[in-house]
Amino acid sequence: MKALTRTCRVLLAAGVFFLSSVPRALPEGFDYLPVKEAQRARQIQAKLDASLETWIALERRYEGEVQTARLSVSGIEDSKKVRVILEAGKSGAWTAGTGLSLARARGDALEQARLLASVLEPRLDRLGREALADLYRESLGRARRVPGSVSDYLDFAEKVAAVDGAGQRYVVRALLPLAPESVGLRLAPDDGPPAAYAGSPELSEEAVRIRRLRKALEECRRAAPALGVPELPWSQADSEAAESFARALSLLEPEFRAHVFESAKIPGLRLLPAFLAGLSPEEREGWARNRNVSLRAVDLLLGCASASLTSALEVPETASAQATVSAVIALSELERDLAKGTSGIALLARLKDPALRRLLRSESAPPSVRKAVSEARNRLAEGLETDLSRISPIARHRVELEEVPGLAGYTAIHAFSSSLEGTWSPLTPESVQSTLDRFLSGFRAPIGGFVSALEIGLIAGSASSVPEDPSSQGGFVPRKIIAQHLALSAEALSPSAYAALCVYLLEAFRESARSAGVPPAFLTPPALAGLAATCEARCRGVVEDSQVALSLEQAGGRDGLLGLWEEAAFNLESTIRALDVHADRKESP
Amino acid sequence: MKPAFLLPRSVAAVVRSILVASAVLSLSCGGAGNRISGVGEAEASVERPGAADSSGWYPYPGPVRLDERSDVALEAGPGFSDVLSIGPDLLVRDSFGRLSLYSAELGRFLPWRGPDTERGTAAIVVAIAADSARIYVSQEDGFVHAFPAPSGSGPETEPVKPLWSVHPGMVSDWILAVPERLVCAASDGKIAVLSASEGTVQAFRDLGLPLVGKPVAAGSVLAAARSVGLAALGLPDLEFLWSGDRAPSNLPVLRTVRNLLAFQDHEGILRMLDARTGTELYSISGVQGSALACDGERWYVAGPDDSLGAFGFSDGTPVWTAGAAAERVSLGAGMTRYLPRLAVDSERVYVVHSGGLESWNSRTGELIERSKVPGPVDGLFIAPGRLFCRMRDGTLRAYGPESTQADLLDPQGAIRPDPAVIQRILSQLERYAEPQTAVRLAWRVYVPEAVPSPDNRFTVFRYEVGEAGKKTFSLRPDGQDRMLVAVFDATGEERHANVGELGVDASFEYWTEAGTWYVAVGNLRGQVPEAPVFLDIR
Repeated sequence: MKALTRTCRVLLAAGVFFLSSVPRALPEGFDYLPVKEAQRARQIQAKLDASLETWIALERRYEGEVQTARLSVSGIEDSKKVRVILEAGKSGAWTAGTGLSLARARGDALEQARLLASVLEPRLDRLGREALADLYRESLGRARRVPGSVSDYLDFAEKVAAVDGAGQRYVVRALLPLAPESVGLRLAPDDGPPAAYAGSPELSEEAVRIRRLRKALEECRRAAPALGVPELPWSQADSEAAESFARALSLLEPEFRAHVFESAKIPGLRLLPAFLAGLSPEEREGWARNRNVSLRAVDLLLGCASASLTSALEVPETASAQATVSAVIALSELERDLAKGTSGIALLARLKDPALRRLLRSESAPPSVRKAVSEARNRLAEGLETDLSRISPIARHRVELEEVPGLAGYTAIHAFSSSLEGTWSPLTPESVQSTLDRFLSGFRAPIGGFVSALEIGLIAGSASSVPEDPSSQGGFVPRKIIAQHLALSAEALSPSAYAALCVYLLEAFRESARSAGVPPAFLTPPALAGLAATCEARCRGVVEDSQVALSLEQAGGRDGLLGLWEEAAFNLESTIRALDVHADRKESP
Repeated sequence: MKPAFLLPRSVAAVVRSILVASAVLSLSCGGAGNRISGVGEAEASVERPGAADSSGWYPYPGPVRLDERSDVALEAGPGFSDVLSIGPDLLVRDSFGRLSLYSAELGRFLPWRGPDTERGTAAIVVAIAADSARIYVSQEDGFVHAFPAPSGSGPETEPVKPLWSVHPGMVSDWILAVPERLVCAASDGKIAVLSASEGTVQAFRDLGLPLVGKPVAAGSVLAAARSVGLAALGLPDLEFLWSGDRAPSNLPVLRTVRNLLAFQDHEGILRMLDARTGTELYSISGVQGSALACDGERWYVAGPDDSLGAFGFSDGTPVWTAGAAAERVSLGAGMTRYLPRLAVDSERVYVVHSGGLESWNSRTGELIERSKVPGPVDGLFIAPGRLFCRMRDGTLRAYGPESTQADLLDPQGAIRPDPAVIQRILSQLERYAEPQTAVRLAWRVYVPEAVPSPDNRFTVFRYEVGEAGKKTFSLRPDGQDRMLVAVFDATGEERHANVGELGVDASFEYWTEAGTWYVAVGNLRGQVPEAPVFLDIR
């Protein structure tokens, strides 16, 4: 009896353990399968998700290594190291130290996907509508997470799935292998449109494009290691691969050529169009000649730049009359407040709208208002000088104001202190900013209370005051820009102030790109370019704050935006380094 | 916004036609050259380069000063692949093979669209050329089209119908307009000559070796650079004339003036040949990477070390030189050192190098002005009174007094009504204004307690009424002064005013329908108030 009780206890404990642990360890779902198969499917899926995470993490580390290597390029040997990493990535031999190789991580995940498919495929035709819909959603979500997933394929899959149940079943079958190449092949097979969408001319036509995109991606991967290091000489095989890739590109409509690099997701590849754009026309011809590729191929490779370049940026359509007149309303209010005797900081606190600040710079703005604003700024400068002298009574201080050109309508504040010998030396932007913040903190506006320097268009120093020596702590201007962005965006800014800051930073970024001779649009991530277009429109006064807030959200919020800035800075710096290596090799044009 | 200094479109079009015609006239005499009788001794008889020459000389004067400038970028910011000067305008091919026309009249780029592809999208353009009457476009599908010269006065968003289209049997990487003909060349060495008026293929030749750059025409000779050396073919039949084993080292230094061909060899020496025979006439020592231009009187050589010199056209003897690297500018981080570029008019040499843009007196070698340029420049182009820098970052920098400041706002433009309404309001306000004084208006949006703008005699507030009803208009002066308040409907008709026989009312009631109203507030007959006056509408 006692033994039985013990046995019961053990069984009970095991049962409790099983009930409590299994559902947590294995994913839910697959209820439409027989119990044993469902359990097997759950186990495979758990393993699949785990191996997929490993693969994703490894791909990220690989991407990081390529970036680090790219940013350390200062000579031809460094570029060769980048090529070695890219070759290792292509073959799958790359490992993060001693762990799994990329090929192994990918193989593990695809093997689990194959096992899962072997369980699910025989059952697909018998699945009910809801079960099929669940499986479709799950498969699509997973396919999007796969490293190298091609959004054009998956967008096409969604369209096919939307046709009917048969379309959805067809798509699920296509997504199960998980590997982007297999997914693309199954969705748009070479032997013509499958029955699932053969009746739809639009989908059949799109399938042709998907097939061409697939071919271009295959060629792109073949040519990738050479394309990723355009500053290095190429072998005959490299040139042939690049030419073959260019031919595949030429079959794609121009507006889709940009999708190839975005879809290929091969680290470092986006450098190529920016690099080519940064060469003079003669250098570009020489580059093609020395690599034995045609001029046409060079044009096609240039056309692989960001999608934001191949189509005009769309400024939001809310350029309503209401938005356009907001600056004029602000001007009416400013004139009224001036008549009421508002002056000094209280008057400057009225200049929150970047469109109004810009409007006041136009020659047709009322001279008396411009004069009053100018006087208020001078009083601010005097106040700052007094504050600085209070903090450091030994030195004399001078504050100068400079209207920063550009859409943000910023006024830069430069401060100087004199040494005992009487020489003036500039204070750092950080110390000017803290003095300015301290000075403004003593002021409360009648509306809105606290007055922030950035909100009213005041900024310490300017981007041009950034150290020019790249070996100094500031590094390349873009990195400084990011640091500045990080510091300033910590402050909770209104959409209009954020728009002005974004435009200000973008103008500084463009200036850096311009001095390097690279069209900034080749370096700007599409999401950042889209947001920038909205911010510029806000500074011109043709869209409202709500539109800025929406665009900011679409760009991933302030954190997401920081990532985009980092990407832009990486693009610029790596392009400049590659161009420098190319120039140092003194390749004859 | 159209700048005030611009002429009406019709007048501007006439002026443009005259400018283009005069330029074309001066250029079309290229075969015989242009003899210009100048005031100076050296200008007594100068035969200028012709239209088909690749000389770097322009038949119109560039800007006198370099202190006025503006930057214009292509939409979405791609770089330039080709820039072509067409009278006062520029035709541009961007990095994606799209065409735009920079209109000097409008101060901005206009899209220019050739024929569509079968898919209904604009075809990708790989090369452009122009002569006095037409522009020529080579597409990626191999077709070459001729179009009438664009007007530059408005966007060409609809596809423009070609005058002719032809497929010369290859994709033409370069096209070159020569008198009455168009030369098409592919980088693999194929060359075709088409009739400029009809597009018929008149000659075809395969050189069998790849070309290393765009061919140039020197009179009736077509010179093509190959890696093994230069080759000269006769025009229009493309018969072989001569070939040399000296290959040009640097493609920009391949210039032609009438029957003279100049190139820079691998040692950096600039060699001047008789294009018809290949015989070397004389040489000028130089440094690899130099830029070369010629105005028919002198050669100008700009070195990559920022040096500049002028040499006689007839024998290459030095006329003047400016010190090399004397004031070499140190570049900042990320700044790229780039090859110099030259453009020449009849009086000045414009040179741009890493140190900036300079204008020089071409006769005396005196530096006139220097201006900083923010990045690498890939070409200089002169239009009447203006100089354009093709910036590598995809912007066009224009120097000259007509540069527009497109970035400035017209603050009142957003609310100003139709000109007819403005005129109507103006004429009715005249009777309240100081006699013999022009009425000056400011346009604002009404805000509670609005004040008239201090710098204008009358301020017209746009006032939106959501729902019809009686409104009270009241003035609250800080002092004793009272001002005019006149209410106009959306058509500009005066519906009420506070001015009566007994003077100016401080307050009045008025029925307003829903819609837009204009409320003018201002100084009655020039009386300036001593203290602010606020307008309230309730």
